[in-house]
Amino acid sequence: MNVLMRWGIPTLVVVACVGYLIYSASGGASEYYLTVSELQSHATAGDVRVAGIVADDVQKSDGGFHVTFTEKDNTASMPVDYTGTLPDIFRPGITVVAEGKLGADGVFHATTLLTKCPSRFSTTPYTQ
Amino acid sequence: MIIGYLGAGALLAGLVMGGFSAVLSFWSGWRGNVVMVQVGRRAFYAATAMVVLAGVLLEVGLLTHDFSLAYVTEHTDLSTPTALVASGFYGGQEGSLLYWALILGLLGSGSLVASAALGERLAAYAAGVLASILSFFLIVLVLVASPFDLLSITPPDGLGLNPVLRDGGMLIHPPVVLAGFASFAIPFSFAAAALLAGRTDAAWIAHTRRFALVAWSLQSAGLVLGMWWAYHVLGWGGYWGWDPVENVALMPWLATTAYLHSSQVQEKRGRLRTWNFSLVILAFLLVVFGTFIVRSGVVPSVHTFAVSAIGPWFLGFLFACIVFSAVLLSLRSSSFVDAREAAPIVSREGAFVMQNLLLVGAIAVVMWGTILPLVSGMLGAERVVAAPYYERAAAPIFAALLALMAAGPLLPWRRMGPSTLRALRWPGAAALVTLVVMLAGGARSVPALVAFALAAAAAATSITVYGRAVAASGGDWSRLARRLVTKRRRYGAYLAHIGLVVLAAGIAGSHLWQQEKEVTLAPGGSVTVAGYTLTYTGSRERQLPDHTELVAAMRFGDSTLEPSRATYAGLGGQSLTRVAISTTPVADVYVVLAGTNPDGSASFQVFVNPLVTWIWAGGAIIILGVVLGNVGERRAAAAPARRRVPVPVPG
Amino acid sequence: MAIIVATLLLFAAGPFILWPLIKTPPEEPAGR
Repeated sequence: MNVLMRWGIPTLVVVACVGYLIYSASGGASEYYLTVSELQSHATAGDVRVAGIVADDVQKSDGGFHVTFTEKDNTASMPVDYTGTLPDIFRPGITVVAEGKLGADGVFHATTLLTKCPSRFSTTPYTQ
Repeated sequence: MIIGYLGAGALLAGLVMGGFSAVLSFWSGWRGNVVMVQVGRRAFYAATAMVVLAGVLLEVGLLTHDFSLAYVTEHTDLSTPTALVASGFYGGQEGSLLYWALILGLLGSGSLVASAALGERLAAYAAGVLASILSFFLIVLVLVASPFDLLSITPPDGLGLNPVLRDGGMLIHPPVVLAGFASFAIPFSFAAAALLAGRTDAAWIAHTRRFALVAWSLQSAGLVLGMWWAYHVLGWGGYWGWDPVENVALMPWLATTAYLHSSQVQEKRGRLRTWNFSLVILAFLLVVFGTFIVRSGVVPSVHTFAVSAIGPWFLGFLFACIVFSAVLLSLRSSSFVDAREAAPIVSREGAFVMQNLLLVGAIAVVMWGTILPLVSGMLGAERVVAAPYYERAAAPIFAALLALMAAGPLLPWRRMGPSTLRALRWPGAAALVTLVVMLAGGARSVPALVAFALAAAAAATSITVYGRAVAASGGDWSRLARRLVTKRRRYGAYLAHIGLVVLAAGIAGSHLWQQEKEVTLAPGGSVTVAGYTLTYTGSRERQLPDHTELVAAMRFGDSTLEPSRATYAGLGGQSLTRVAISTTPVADVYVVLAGTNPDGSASFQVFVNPLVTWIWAGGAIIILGVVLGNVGERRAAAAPARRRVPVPVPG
Repeated sequence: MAIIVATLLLFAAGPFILWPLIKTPPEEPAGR
């Protein structure tokens, strides 16, 4: 009883603070994580992350700081425009997650490109 | 081919021995049959030997380029350098599971050998839990993810290792982190055994703490190595991305940090046993959870995880561990009657409880960010969070922990008095001086001011501890030396605290004050970032056996930085960054070559990262402190006579 | 094949594992 009274309040305070921190931090900072087809069917305001495959039409310019390409999945595709340093792995055929906004012009303006580390844990078997 | 059969056979034998050990150990512990306890333990040793044999066989298969093994074919080729071939052992799914089992078996065996002082029943239950965990891994290795699967036709060459992974960091970072993960099973097993046997005395505390410290040290090293590797190799200018893979390595470390401190309260006053058991168990559950997340592909991560067959197995194992732990804790913790009453909140014990609460809070923050995609995906649209979430939510918690580090060690175990306030003047003064200096220097960012002031305070407190030692030995060096050696656990711990403060300062500086510029320069052109000027002097191409290198030269003061890009023929023109870094204790100048252009200009990304070296230095100091503090501690805690630990409840 | 290897290994390890049983005489006071 003694312990509960002595420690109950500080514990509640800490829990409340942590809860508040989590709530307030995630409210503004979370984004939708979509596939290309999902984004095209549900126009979303705000920044989103879109996962897809890089198509063959990669065009680099501006010393490698600007690139346009098409990101696609099984059913849909969309043009992407990105300014910034390209991740090393970036090339046609890889999975990429583009973070940014879909513009009114139908082009996705990406502020960040995330590529995946080459597989260490994938179980893609050797096909003979 | 033979290796395939021998290896599979060894794993199968290991599984049988492990299962036998688990069943027999639990039974003999329950019945108190000493002879059978020893048999059960030997079965665990034998199972470990089988895993070692399998490991040796896999390594031989790798080094002899035995492409009849699917695993060898998938992860190496004839042109891969030998060191990287050898590291292929833990580089893939199946091999890393085998490595995990290997560490578990070896550390587990060591812990059982050292457990003689604990009594046969406790040792038996611990062996039972260890054997159960090992058997789970062996089940997965035998049935689902065998490193010894054979190909029906042996190819002439393998698939090789992706160039991004061809780096020295690959040799060191993964095995340390994997070993860290596996090692959390040891304290868990002893905690579970103590709950089963109803024993929580001094010998058990010392034994469990020792292995928790091993796990914590391995994980600390793994985390810092991972940060170092990400910073030096990946070329994005940072060292931590809050990716799920990183988060799951961090969480058990946070729980064990809490445990290592909180267990002192149990040692000194016999209190907080429920906390301690819960923290040790939580650390292991987080490891299993992390392994599930990382290998199942259920949350998006920059580390590729194909949705693999072993996901459901680990989910099932996680569920079993949670149920087992929950039942044990709820049944037994009611027997933890704290003989002593709780200390006031503002006391050493109070500080430890606050620390527990804050670290669990930090775990909750990281956990929420990690599973948000999973939870939100199940309830509707999938959402993710990025670094800003973690920073906003976790930074205040870490700041509060720094404040605890500054005040806690100076608080008495029981009542506060005037001498406490006097002692607190040192960290208080350090914080004040730091604030004044920073404000005078023009710093206005609140996070920076808070972080450095608290870091200075925490450092001052740790130094005060050493200062008291010097004062107490009255200027006699040999007395001081003897004191430091006899009480090395204490002084080593405060050295580790200093290391953590240095590391925290490094993170604060490099994070809050980083500057970055993207620029395209013609030869002769210059760029200035944060007062550092670099001049592009030209680039050249170099042809090496398996790749071509594009090297740019940037003159920086008296030296030349050479960021480059390496293009590997077989990879469709993809080129890899080799970062050029100029390091001083004050800041790193970090240059990435984005590419060259037809008109002769080159594009760069230049970062100035202040205080990054403090991160690596801090990490080294932490490890030094832990090692020095615990070297040669043979006997279960040299017991000061005054300690009164409540009589253990008979099992 | 793997099963054969496993069986052989089990037989090889048997004596090591069962040693405490083998070396104690059959009549043994109940362990505690």
